[in-house]
Amino acid sequence: MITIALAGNPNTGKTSLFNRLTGSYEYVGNWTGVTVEKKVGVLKKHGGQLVDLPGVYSLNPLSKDEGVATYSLLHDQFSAILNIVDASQLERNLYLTLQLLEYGKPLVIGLNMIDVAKARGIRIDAELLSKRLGCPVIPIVARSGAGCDDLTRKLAATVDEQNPFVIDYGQTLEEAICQFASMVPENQGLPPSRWLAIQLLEGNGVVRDLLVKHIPVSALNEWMENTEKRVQEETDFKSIVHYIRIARGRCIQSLLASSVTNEGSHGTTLTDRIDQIVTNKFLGLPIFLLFTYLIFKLTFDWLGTPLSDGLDEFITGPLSDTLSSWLHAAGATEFIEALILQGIVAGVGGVIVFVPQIFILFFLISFIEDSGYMARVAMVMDKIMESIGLNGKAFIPMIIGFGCNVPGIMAARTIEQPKERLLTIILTPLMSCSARLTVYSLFVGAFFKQNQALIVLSLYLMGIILALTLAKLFSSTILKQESSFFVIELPPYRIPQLRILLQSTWEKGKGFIRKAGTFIFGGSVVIWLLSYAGPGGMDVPMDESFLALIGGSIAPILAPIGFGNWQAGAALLTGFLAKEVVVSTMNIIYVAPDLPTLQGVMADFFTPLSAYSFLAFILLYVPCLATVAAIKKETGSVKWTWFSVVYALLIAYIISIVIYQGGLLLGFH
Amino acid sequence: MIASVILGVLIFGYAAFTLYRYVKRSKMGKCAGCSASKSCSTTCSYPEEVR
Repeated sequence: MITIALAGNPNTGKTSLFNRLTGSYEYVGNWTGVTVEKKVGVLKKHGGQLVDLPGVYSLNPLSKDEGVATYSLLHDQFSAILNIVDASQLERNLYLTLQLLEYGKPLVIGLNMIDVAKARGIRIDAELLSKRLGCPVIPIVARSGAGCDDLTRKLAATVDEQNPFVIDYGQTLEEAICQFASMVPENQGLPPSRWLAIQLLEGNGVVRDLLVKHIPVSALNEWMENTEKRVQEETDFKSIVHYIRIARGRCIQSLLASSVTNEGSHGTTLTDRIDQIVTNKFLGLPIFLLFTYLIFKLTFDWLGTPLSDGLDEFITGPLSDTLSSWLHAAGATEFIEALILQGIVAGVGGVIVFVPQIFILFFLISFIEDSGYMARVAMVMDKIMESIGLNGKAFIPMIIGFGCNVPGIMAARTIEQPKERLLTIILTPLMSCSARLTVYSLFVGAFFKQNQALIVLSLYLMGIILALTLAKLFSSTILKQESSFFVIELPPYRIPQLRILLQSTWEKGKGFIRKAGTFIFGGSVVIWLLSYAGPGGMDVPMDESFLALIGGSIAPILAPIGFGNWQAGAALLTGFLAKEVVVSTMNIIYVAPDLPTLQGVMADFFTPLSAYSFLAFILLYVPCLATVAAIKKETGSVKWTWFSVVYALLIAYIISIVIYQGGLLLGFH
Repeated sequence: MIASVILGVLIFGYAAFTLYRYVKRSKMGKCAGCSASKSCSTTCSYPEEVR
């Protein structure tokens, strides 16, 4: 079976192409660093496997995800490499292409975004480029699928070995490369010695690790020192890395001169004009906030709430009635009837009613991602984060964290500085994920009917502002670091395709529905049982149940922050497993037949002020179980995992106490 | 009564299964959270130094 590696610079559309060729759907974002692990898919038309590697600018790894790409090229068996190249950024993209060609595996170039290049007045002679590079070059548009069939045909045909592409590095280096070739043992399945020599001289750690298994370290070091010395003596260059880079640059310039004509762009494009406004130093942030406000307005007031109310009427009306009559007909006992109606329907149904709101939110987020605006948001945030001494790259895991914190934490791998990465991992859980949205929905519907969007927006902003403040605090105290750089490419604006939007919305939201049918179901059954049974036996009054005992044990601690009742305590404890469970628990313990009644009952336990304090606490207190596990895996440290749990609890308590006690002082209730 | 017993066993059995699997998957962390967890066969098996 053929295995093809998909390699290219970040943000060139590798994952779009991967989805197109394999028929699968992976998360696509038009900013750098969305793919952090290699992903394997089966090629749709000709069989064989396609491996999507994280985007890299060079084979010499700087960050963890870049290491994954190089390591995979060296250690996995590939029949061919599919190099995807951004046609509108050819000069920079060819740098990696040359390194891949030197590697010597059969290579096919997918010249992506040829439409964008054309719009910018860039004409590329693909045939001539193909002749010069000695490999097929196929113009494609991965988003629409244009040229992709041609590409798959070429891929299936290009599995014969081809001669490595040779760049002339000048006499000095060429001699050193020859000398190196005599040191490399034969028949060990190693990559071409010429490629190894150049990568080693460039300081590629992954290649060095491989070579020390075959060649004595002293011999390697001696050869490197001698070569470096000779290059310094015989050329004007201070370092060999610089020397190699310049040689490649010359080669790229000659390729571009022969096969690319730049007719220049036709004045300022629409994208440029929009960018002047939305990335403006002063207007950028307010515009972003306005968009976010509109998104919540649509999610909660204009579209989401009517839909959710309709769904709630169906679940608590026809569905419950039908189930109840079936259970009667089957002669089910009271216990089973209560379990199903007050446990499962209340617990699972209580979460399901918010599905319309969550899907609307995901649809809108997909819209701003696919339109190209999200990349601008990252850029606007970069400026702000730079001012507090952080890298803008850290904002990308945080954006991803708005969907779910777990992939957000994984995305932190794109950050080169270990301390900056750790900081991002620890702070990403402060981003309000979609699970928490169900709790907000429940509460804003009950207590803040008039200002639903504003209250939710304030919670999202609270998360971001706290993350930035703590980033500043931690980076100047326990995690002092050197600064690093952030490159973000701005894709041109485009009208998103409905198919892509629907697919992306479904992919983001399906986990939520799956969770409702599995874990929320199981959780609801257990919570109901705990509320049904107590030390006094079964079917005890709710206040004497096990759940009341458990929740009541932490209630006194919660009193100063406004919700010292066992119900809130129980909801918070179960919420550690998954934040949606807070909603299930409340539906079960407040035994309300429908959403409006539940929201009415809640008014007996919460005031608007304590409700807001509760929402802030839900946002900030310990990350959910899956997130804690992801933190542990990614930091590899029990200490930092505990730190992320404990600081979150402390911050949550402090913020809630400030909100509640401060609010009381100011006369709110 | 038989219907109640069957329903009870099914519901509690399924609930226990989902909870067990959720906790197990959550502990797996990154692989369970990865969008490619179904099609991917590598289980991200890289040595520590490149991870």
